[in-house]
Amino acid sequence: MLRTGIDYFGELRTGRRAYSTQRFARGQYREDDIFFKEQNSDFLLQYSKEVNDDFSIGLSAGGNIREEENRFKRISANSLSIPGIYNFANAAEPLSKTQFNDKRKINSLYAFANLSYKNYLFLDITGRNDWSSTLPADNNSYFYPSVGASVILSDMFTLPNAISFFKLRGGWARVGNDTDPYALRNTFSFNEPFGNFQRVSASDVLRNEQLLPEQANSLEIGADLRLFNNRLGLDVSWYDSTTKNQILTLPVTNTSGFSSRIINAGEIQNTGVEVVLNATPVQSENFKWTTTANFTRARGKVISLTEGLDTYEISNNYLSVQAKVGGRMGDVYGTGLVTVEDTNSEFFGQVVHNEDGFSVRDPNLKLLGNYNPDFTLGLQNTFSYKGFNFGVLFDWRQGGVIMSRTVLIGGTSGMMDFTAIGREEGIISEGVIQNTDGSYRPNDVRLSGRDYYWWRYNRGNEEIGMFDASFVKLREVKLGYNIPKKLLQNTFIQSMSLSLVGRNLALWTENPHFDPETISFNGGTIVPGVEDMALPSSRSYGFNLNLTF
Amino acid sequence: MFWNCTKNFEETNSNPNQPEEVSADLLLSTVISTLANQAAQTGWNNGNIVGQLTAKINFTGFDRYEWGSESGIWNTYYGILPEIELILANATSEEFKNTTYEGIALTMRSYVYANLTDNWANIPFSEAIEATGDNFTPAYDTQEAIYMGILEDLRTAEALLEQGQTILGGDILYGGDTQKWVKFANSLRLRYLMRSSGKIDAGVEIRSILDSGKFIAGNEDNAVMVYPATTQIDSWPVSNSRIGSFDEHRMSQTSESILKQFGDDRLQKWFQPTDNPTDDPNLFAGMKNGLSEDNASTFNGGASNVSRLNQSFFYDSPNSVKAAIIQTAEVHFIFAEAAQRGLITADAATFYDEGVRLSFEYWNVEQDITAYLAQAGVAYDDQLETILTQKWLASFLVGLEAWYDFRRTGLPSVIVPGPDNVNNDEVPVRFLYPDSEQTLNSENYKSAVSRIGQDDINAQGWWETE
Repeated sequence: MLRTGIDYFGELRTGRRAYSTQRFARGQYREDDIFFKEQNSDFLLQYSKEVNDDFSIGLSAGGNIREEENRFKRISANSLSIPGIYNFANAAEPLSKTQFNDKRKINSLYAFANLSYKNYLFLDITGRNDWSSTLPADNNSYFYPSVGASVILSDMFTLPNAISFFKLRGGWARVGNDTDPYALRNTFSFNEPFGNFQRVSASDVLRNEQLLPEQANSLEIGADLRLFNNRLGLDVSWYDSTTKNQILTLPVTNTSGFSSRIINAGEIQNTGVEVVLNATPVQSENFKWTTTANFTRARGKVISLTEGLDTYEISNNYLSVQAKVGGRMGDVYGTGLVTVEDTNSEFFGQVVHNEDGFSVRDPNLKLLGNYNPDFTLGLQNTFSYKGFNFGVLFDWRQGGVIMSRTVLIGGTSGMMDFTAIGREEGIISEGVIQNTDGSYRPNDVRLSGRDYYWWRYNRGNEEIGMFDASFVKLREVKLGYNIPKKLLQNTFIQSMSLSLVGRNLALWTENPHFDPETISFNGGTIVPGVEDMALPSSRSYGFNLNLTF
Repeated sequence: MFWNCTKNFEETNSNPNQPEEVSADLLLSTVISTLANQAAQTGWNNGNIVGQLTAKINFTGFDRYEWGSESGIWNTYYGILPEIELILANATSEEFKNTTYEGIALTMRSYVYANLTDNWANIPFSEAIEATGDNFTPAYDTQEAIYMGILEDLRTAEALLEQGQTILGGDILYGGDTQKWVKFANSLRLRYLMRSSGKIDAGVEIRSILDSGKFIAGNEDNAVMVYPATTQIDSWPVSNSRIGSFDEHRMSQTSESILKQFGDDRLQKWFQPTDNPTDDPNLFAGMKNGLSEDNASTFNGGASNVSRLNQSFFYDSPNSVKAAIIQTAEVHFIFAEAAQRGLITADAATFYDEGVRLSFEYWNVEQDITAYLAQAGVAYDDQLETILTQKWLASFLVGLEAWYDFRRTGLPSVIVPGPDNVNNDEVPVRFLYPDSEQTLNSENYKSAVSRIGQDDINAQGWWETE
């Protein structure tokens, strides 16, 4: 087989701001021109043979050339001479211009073999080598094999009747990866001109001419067991995946001259288990009830980063997401309040305040939790009676923490309901004041409501904004009806079904202010574990009509 | 076939958008525009407030000494140092050797490190900006070592600039005039000599700069940048901000009392009458610094009763405000102080009077200088506080100079922490180290902190300790 294909999109985005808007008092017109093209050309040679009655073999070998191109151009006129005319000729000041083009090319060669014995024993072996233009010339080739095997025990042996199907599977795979274009050598970027002066800036990312390809090795083992004529099924998978030489943009102290550098770092290990249990407890001529439970649990651990480095800040939106060697992926750090640390003191654990009655902030970052859940469980129940069907899906996510910027900003400005307390009479912040001799006394300084909440919920006080992210959601309820076939016999319609669907109908969670199933952004980076002025999630109700002709 | 295909990988992975090498002129324009702008912005957001020339009526945290790291300032200065080092490397290379670019780079670098150390005390200096040499954990130097380094660099810069080589371009300040750069470098040196005069014998060097005549003697030689205002980017940033953000800044009762006492017409230049339509249209009323949010918003019956800054000058116009790194008035007050304290033998009164006159000239304010200088409280009386009061007024919008002088001398004594301050009635003397240093350079951060006791806004640096 020999073929080629192109995937292409082009997009022109225009933006208009009218005269008298706050940000662009004299209007703005902007055009973004976006172009993307990916072309893949590949060939594949295949050979298959039934060696004998029991044994069959399939072999393939092939190769692929992938070329990817991105082009981005943004032009804006940041003020207009005449309002309402959105055309660059109407610009009242020099146009602002940004342009960025990139290209990448990956050549690959691969081969795979599939063997099967008596249709119950299977073995698959693959091998692939890629060459990427984005890696340095002496390190741009990477090879990655995989091996997978499965055995259908219920076909291989005679098992008790109760067991309808039993399959074991296992595999090991390695996957290699390259990086983005232009990661190898530093360049200068153009700033907006200053009057007649052109300006350039040095790169604040230190690029790396010694980059190596990334590598992920994973091992997976699973079992699929079905009992009682498929009335009960259990599918279990366990995986362990280790990523090495991840290409990371590592933040560094800007006193070094760069704010980050690109390196191969780290060994990160992800292990997890997934269990799917499905059962049909009731099955009769007219009525059937099936239930499915889907349980997942995953943990990521940082085995190593790179020499001399034991902490890597992955993202930051007030809360700092850090990977520390020996720690768990998803650990979050922030600042909190100083508490009494002397275990012998009667005030142990209480918040320390200064003489003015304000709690004292601890500038040292501390571990505030992990944003990943301990486990997730989905539970689906479906009931069908004659032509009707009814389904209910619950989602349960247990564990993990989330910081709410909405609560902090709302608390510091007095917008949240809990800040109503103390507005007339003031509040004494709970805790102790440290005396000059080092001992403590209970805090007795009454602050105005405004001062108390402004100080306590200050946006830099991440610890106060932490919440348990566990939740249970009623994800979907569906009621449907299939029109009986005999009613459709004389029509051109082959089948017809109607259903009412409700989604996101209910949420049970610790905090009353926001939906914990949310993430935030810092510029273009996704920062999990933080809720940042998120819009409330919404319930939806819908109606479906399905027809086949 | 595939091996052939990897042949042009080198070309595929060459960045077509950005150059790998640039000439010094393109970098110099970035350096000057960034630093001059930062001086004015810091003056607006921080310097004028801690110096109590203006006050905050909203978001009063900084005014009340609820201080953090001001990491934005740290990031801007450490962020521009790589460009300065690249100009220096270019100017000292065989191919592009240029003593003027070298002198300019040393001058700007000294200015940056001086600001950093004056704000944070001990900071990375000798080991900083060496990432290409694999140093990602620079050690923190002492303020004393940094000052010695800066003063030495400024002396070297003077000698290099005196050679008068022409440059390609990029000089937004002086258009390549090396004599003006000599005066600028020496004026910065005067500033840092005076700052460290409590710890070093500054008199001899101040005298020699005075004798050479190579210092900023008139407003035409000021290190001051005018905003071209061709786009939003090259305009005075406050003119592009929300009006609400501009409205947060108000006249301070501290500066009001002095300006009114002296009949100083800079009052009208900087501030405008209250917004209240029932007030006298010429009523200028200030507010106390350092109030809580509650007390600030209700002060004097509300925001319409407290004067804002002059809107047509500081907000409506994209280029009326000039970004000042150092001006001639400050230079004259440095000489006056040096004479008053006996560091040099000179007539303090002459320098003092000239400094006052030059500040009015800088602000384009018509004032009968003779009458002004005849007043009690203004007339030179051999008191350091008299000199520093006028120097304080002249430092309006010049970075954090008023704060540095107050820390050094405790003058002018009208600066008193506001009633709702959260720093135990002490004016803070430094910013905290940025959080990022704790994570990204932790060993050196910890040893730097232990050298000053704790990372604290009241930990004094070298030049201000007795």
